Amino acid sequence: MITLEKLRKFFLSLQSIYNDKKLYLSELDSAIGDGDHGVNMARGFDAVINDLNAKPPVDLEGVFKSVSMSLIKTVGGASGPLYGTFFRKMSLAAGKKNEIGLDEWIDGMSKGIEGIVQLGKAQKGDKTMLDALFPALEALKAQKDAGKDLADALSASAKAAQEGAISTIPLIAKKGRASYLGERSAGHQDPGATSSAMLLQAAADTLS
Amino acid sequence: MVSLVLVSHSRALAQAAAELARKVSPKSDIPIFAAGGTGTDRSELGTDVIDILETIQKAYSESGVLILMDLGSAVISSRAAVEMLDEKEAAKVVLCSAPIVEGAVGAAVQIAAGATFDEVKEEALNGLVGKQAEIGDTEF
Repeated sequence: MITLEKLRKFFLSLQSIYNDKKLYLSELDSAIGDGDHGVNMARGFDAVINDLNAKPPVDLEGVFKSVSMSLIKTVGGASGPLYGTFFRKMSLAAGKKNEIGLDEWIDGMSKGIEGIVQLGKAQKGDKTMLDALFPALEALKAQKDAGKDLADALSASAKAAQEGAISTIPLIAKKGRASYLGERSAGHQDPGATSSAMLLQAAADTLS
Repeated sequence: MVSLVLVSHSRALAQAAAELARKVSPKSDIPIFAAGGTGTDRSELGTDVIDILETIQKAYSESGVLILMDLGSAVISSRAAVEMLDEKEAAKVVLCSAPIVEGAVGAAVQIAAGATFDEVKEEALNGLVGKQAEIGDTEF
């Protein structure tokens, strides 16, 4: 089960991952964007932890809502509203519970991804974060259908997200600043898909 | 009266577009609001959902709020800001694909004349028509 304590560990782990990978994500972004994705994500998740510490939420919904507001306020660019919306929609699936299982996590991922699609209007193959998130959701559903438990499902979704992020390398960007590069955007891994794959790896490491 | 919100990565650009639209329209006191920029004094380039949200709330009118924005994250941030309004308010706030300068001028003239929301929006969307006819480079 995903508990309040595990969710807290998940976000602490994201803070440390995005700080460790700050330069790497910004380098990926420099190739096809404005080069600030790593710095933005690190600043955003520092704020996430500060805000969770300042006002510890009492249920899972509260945690996701707090995270969403921190990201919207501090990340900037398109990533702030996109990740912010992802976690705000996840709060709807979690509700006022203290623990959730695989079903609710799949529901949350599904709603979160829907929110990102509504906001950014991107599709599969547009070289965006969705190219990591869509396969991750498909993997979660396939694992559930095969009767696997939360740990197996999270680990399969992390692997699918990582493969999805790598699959963006040859793609031509259709959204965001990278899309102005046209064919020159091919040959670079998408920074948003990469940060999303990191998020799902952290989920596999902390939530199972 | 319909309200207009201009969103740009550059706050200065949004403010100047608002000033231009106000000067061109027959009334100077029409409700045009500017949002944009990030950082503590909003002097850095970028858009901020909370800034846009607060500007929409300031601009809110039962007759409708038309939002014109530049591009990229300005669109995503504006959409996210509208989503954060309550449903009743959100129903009155509309994102418009009109070009920010020409659209704002067209919209401002209609707002000053007391036009309906649909008329204001249509005029904003037709903002390029006059210039395109004059320059004549859209025939292929």
